[in-house]
Amino acid sequence: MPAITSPGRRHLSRAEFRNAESWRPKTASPGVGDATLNGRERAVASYLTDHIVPTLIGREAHRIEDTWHICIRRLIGSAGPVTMSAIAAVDMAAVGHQGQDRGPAALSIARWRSRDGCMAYCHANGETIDDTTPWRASTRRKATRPFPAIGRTRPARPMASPRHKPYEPADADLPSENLWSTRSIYARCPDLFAAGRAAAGRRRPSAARRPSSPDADRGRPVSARTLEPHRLFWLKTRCQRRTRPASA
Amino acid sequence: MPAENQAGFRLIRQHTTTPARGRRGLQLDLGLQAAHRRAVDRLHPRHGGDAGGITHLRRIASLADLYHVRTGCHGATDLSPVTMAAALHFDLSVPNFGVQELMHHTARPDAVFPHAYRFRAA
Repeated sequence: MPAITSPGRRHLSRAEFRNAESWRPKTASPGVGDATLNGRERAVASYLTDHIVPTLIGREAHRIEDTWHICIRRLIGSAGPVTMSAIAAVDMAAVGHQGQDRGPAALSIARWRSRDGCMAYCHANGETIDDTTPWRASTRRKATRPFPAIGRTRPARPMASPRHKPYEPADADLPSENLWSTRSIYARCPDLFAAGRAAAGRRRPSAARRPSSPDADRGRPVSARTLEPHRLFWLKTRCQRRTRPASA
Repeated sequence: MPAENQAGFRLIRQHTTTPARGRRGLQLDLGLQAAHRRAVDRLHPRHGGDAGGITHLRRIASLADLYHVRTGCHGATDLSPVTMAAALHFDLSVPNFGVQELMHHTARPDAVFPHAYRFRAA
């Protein structure tokens, strides 16, 4: 059954709810999945309780893909973040249950193993160029930050946070609104990435940005081209689904 | 940019040689449309919300691999260490893994959801 817990979230006044789906259909070894939906967990918990759990009762837990198909095909035109979060939690719980029941080596996903480790990237954050680029020092101190990215400057907003504040987009109970100046951000982008390249050396920072106006959309390709000399790993563009998929 | 605006990704690709990444919200249908049109180089799915878990993401990755598109899973702190563990298992298993996003959890979520994965400097 779903369980909602709030272990907190750094630098936030907002309580975070996590939704762990435990599933133990036959054996004593549970599977745990995560149905977190960024503050909308009660909706997911309701969907799990009312629609998913009755579907699982009596089913063989190790038939993971079969269970996934059952959950997906019973959506009946209601595929969306809530339902997909619930199904994802069930799928994670099924995989975890199989791993605990039969041992990690028996997991199909373990048998498909393609590599021994994987590269991860973190976010650099700041209100000014000087505030954003010193992450290199913190990277050296903390061995757990291997691959910072550069992004999200807010040139029109006064600095209100201490330096080197970890990147956290959910910075308030409600979504924050910021002033945006496309001209200002594009004017400083080359300098920001030049400083980032100088600090990163051979590492490859990426660009993550949040334009909020049509001007930003129109101007982005020009900005992307100006950043090419800095050899970015990728260009990360904010992209949001605004309509339901036609197949749902 | 709306995820449905696949022309937007093409516009970006036409104007830069920097690899483009489709942000999360690209579900299976739109992600493959973008891949088919060579509009993105990385997909950025999330195990919950966008995709239905490991099973779903493996299917997406297999189809994306046909178009030489790699994965870059969401890994922010809006999801618990349980999802991060699932994402890392997925990353280790798919041949077309690209990169994994990482926003470190604080001690409290790590204590509530104990895990065995760890990160070190490259």
